[in-house]
Amino acid sequence: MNKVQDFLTISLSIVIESLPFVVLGISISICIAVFVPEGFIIKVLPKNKFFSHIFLSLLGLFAPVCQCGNVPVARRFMLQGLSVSQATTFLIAAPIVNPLTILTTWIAFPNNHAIAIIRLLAGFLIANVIGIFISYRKDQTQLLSKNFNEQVCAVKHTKPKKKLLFAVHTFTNEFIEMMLPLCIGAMIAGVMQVFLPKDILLSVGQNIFLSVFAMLALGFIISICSTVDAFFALSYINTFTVGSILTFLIFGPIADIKMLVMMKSIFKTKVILYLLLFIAVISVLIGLTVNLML
Amino acid sequence: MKNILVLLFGIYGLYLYFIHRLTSYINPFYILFFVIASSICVIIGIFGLLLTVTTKRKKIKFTKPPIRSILFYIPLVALLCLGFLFKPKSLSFSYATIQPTQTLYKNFNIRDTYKFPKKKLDYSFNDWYFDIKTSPDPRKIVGQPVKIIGFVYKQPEFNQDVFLLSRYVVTCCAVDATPTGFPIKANNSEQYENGAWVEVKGTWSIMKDRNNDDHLFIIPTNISKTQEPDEPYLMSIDFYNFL
Repeated sequence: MNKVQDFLTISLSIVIESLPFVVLGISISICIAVFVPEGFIIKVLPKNKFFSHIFLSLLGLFAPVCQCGNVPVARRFMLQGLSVSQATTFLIAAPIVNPLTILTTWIAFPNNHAIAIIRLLAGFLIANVIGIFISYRKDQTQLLSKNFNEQVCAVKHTKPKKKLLFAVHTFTNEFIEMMLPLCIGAMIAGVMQVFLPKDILLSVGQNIFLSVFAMLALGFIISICSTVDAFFALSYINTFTVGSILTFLIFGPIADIKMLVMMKSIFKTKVILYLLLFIAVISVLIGLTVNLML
Repeated sequence: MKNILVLLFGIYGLYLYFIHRLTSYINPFYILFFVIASSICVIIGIFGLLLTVTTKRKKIKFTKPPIRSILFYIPLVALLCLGFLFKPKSLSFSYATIQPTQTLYKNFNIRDTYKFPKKKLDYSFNDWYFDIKTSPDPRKIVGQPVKIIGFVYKQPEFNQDVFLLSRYVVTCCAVDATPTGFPIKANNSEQYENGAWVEVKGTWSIMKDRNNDDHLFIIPTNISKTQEPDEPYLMSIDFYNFL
């Protein structure tokens, strides 16, 4: 009975902690839809493919929202006419290229600021590589889930006349679209947290290779907000290698269970799996490289 | 249906706030933001229901999102129902059995703004936790009186007369909770079951463990059962320094 209660406590804690960020993200999304002139974002973006992706990957610096809040904003970008590759770059970069995340990582590791710098550069690099890779695809909408694709295709590019009505309806729809995957992700994370003993993962903390994979698994299971995960990672600094800590800090915000399930509101499952694989490989490579260099 | 769900989420959030159980789930720092978000959900939910009735009367058309099957809503509704049906509770001791226990002896600094109580008997669990973690020599507290509340956690490798008086350290929410505790050496420790909340009064002491390392222990003069405190979790010292 204790385990069932703990599962519920953890699942609800993830949902409760994420709720303010989801509401904030949806509010930003609605403001973009109502107040940003049609085509403004596309006009402002650099015309060059590479620079447009770089610009979007830096947009998170102005929107310090946890990864949950970025999903509705990314969806809104696509509904406003941005390409899938551009919105994906923003979605992947924003949890890490984010003033709160940078600050907390900098403060959490005062004797090793390189961790904050490498984390920032890794997030920037992964987001842009993925975005530019997707940009070469002819029909990017094929990457989207059926439901979201229908919304993107059906969207009318005119400003809503009845703004309050539009805001309420959009909030309600977006809220349900976000909360469903969030609840599923939270429950999966809850099951893994409560029923999976972490002794095995933690016993390999000092192994150069295994520690990186252990932290990758931990980053996947523990769905913690990117703005404070540095403090959580800090508690493992004496028991795990520096490279593995970096792997956790890079992989976790982009590809934990909660985030992957929330991405289901945008992408097809196959696309999410490819993204997961790519991000995991890069995170592991960075972690191993740091461990071998030290 | 969607408006009702938004409204129910908001109501659930405010319900947790008014029964003072949000601290079972999240760091107190996040409570204000959560209450604001819940209030927004309640307002939007009510507005949405009113507008749905109004638009149906006026037959106003607007673009509808794709129709979802009823199965789509099951996880959402299930979690909400479980939240309402089960009494909100903080993490139990059994969660500590699958987590590494946080060690206390590290060199940390704490902001000057943190005010420790003047009398040692007024120190809470959190005060002792911060004091020991930031002290260059924790052994200076040996002989000092202590009165703190925590839950009983008996680790299998401990002797029968020893248990940990424990709390969970949390950064943002229960998902990152890490147990920490102070060893209590008491001859009658078998009276106290795992997970029971107790208040321990006693004195700090130092004892050697099996590896001949020094460990701070509490030698109790009185152990009594008590209620779980309103804020069952401790705030991580790093997060406190950041705020």
